[in-house]
Amino acid sequence: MNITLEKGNKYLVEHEKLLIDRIISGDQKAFRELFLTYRELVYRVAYRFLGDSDDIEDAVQQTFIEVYRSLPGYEAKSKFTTWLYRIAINVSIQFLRKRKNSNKFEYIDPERIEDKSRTDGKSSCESNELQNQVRMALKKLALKKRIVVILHDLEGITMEEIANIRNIPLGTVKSRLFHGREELKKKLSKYLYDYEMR
Amino acid sequence: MIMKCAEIRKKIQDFLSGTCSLSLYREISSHLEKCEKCREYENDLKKLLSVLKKQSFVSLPKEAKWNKIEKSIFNNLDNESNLFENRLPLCVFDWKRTAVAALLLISFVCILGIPFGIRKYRKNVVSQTADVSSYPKLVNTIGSVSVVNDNIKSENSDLEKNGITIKTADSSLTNVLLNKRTTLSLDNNTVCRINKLSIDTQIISLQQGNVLAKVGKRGREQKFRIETPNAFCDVVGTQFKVWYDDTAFGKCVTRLAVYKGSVVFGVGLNKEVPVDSGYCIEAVGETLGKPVLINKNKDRLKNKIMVISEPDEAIVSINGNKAGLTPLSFEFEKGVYQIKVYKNGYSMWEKHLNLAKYEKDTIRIKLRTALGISEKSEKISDSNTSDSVLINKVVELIDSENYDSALIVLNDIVCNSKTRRETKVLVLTKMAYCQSSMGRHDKAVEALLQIVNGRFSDDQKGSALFRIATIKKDQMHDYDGAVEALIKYFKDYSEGIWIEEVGFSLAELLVIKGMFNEAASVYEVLMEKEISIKGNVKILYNLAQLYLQHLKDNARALELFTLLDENFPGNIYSEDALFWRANCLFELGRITQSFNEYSNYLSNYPDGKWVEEIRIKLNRTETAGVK
Repeated sequence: MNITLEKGNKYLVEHEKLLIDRIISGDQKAFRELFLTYRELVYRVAYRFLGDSDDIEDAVQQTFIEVYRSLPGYEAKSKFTTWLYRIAINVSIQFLRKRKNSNKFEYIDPERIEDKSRTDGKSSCESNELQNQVRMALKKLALKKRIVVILHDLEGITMEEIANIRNIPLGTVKSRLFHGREELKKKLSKYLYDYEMR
Repeated sequence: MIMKCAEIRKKIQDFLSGTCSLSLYREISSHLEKCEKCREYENDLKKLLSVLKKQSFVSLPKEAKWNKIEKSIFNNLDNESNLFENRLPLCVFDWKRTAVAALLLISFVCILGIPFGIRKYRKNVVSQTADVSSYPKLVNTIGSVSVVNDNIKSENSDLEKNGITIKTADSSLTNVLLNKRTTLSLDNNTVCRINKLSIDTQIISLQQGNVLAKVGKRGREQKFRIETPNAFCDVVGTQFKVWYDDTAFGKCVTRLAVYKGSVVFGVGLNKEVPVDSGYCIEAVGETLGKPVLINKNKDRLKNKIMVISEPDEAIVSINGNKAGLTPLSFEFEKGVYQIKVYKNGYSMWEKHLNLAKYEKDTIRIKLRTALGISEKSEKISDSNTSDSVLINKVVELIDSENYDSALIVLNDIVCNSKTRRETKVLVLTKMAYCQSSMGRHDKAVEALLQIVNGRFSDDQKGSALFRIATIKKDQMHDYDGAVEALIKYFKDYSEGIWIEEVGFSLAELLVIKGMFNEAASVYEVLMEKEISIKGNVKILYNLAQLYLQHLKDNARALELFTLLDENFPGNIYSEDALFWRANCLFELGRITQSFNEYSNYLSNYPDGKWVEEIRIKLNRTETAGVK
């Protein structure tokens, strides 16, 4: 993949640029290509914030519609994924606010949790318990800290990129990550005490 | 020690992620070796990260679910497909596009109607569904252009007549395609109504401003007419320009200049006169003037100019002599005039103008209060003034050659995310103009590239690309760059409005670069396009010259010169073509035929520019024959 050296587009990978141009010119096939490439990324973000609920599908759908609407204004000053994360997070936040207003509770599909943690039959119940606690602890974190912890510790995004996604200084990212982790440690202290790292 | 530990713990996250400096890494490592509490802290953090990592697994939906999501997205997008529509669909076939067009038109008129004072047009806005043909089409639109389908009552009967009124705002231009071969180019501040548009008859009413009409070939029974409130122009030939002004001289004034073919110009049934190519005529009220030759130095009619200022009653000084107060109309002869307009409390406007080459009939000046231009432009930019007001300001600044201030305002407009797409094109074009005028051609190209690479219509992109090529060729003398841009236009916008100009420029540059075969190919491709007769004539002549002079193919050159004569008898190259045809015949050894052609030349053009050369050639041949 060649990276174009054009001013303002230095981060834009060539094929993404072509894809975006095609989408802007009205090519829906190109948009489908973009959907197929990034659907999992968007789904993961929605899942992190909204949990295993029906809202995820709506959020994914809304994110791609927002992407379609905003593409002409995409200036390629940052990586495309950075821009996409930004939109996906903002859409998820909107859904969270809606949910808060309508007092809708998160539905967790027990089968899925079982599925995910069925690594050790003996300790599956303990593991489920821990995973639930982690989820609850994450949910109780202030949104700003939660975003940073999720993006860094769950999604594996670098602090610099998070700073770009959220458009905040790197120092703020570090500080939110530190305080977010501190809170999580406090909330999960009794579980972490017995936890053995594998 | 406590402080030290707190500090270390804050930095442990960098330590674990490996993003800290080497010295910090060493410091933390040695601290962890000594401090058990911090080691515990590190251990807890590692455990937390491990737990969180386990959370990172997400069960993704199955394909069926993805398909469902995809379907919902695309269903939504279908409803929003107009987001990426670049063109204003003036005439449409399917109901979806019609609805979009109608909505666009209604919003256009609602937004533009009040400031432009065209309330009467807003009354009868209807959708464009009534029009079933694909014409008229707006192409290459710059700035604000309103299009309204309206019904007006005929003066003689109560019948309502459908039509389309097109209005260009200040610093806006558009071309209206009436059919494949007929184009109206509307200048700024022009109001034009298409009263009738059928295969046989096209009637256009010019209510304000000026229109350049390029009318394609037509039969005798076909009618093309441009009417103004006091005159009409019936077309027999092809290319002419009409001006209508009912403000500048207190009377209805219609002017006509015919560039090609002939036009019947009249003010009533018995008051009409044919005007031939190269002539112009004026009708003031119901008085019809006489056709006079168009000034050879400039392609248009005018020896009078009007100076209008805002506020009015400003003093006009011409070449240092007070000429009167604005609005002022005065006659001029050839030459450069120093014009000053000033008024108490306002900055003086001063310019040296070659009036014979000045493109407008009226010099409109907006005097600025004596604040200082840049200060004022900043003021305007800061306030919430609408883009159109800012653009008017820009036009004034450009008129007064104050490009720096104009660029400040233009930058402000372009940075405004709410700026409409059409306005953005205009702004970027003006930015390019300013930069180019200041000698910063590379910046001008950069501005135009934003149009080429942006979300604009093909016509707008094509025009920007053509401008880039022109700047590269004429200003930067970067022929390679110009060729690249022209080739891109030639390939990507082969139906574009500039294809003729692009083709000629490209071929010309290829000849300069010695790429004669490629130049010939460009001409050959261009010949297949629907271009003007003048263009076709030029292509045939240039191509024949190319074969004759560079590719040394006399037979093909002869063929082309003959084709030129047969298809376009009496064209502007007839004299040269006859001479070169004779030369080709001579070179091909067809001496008798060649002599016949030379004789033809001498009898048709006894004072022609090749007479001397032909005589020398004939003498030499005769001498050689005797020997």
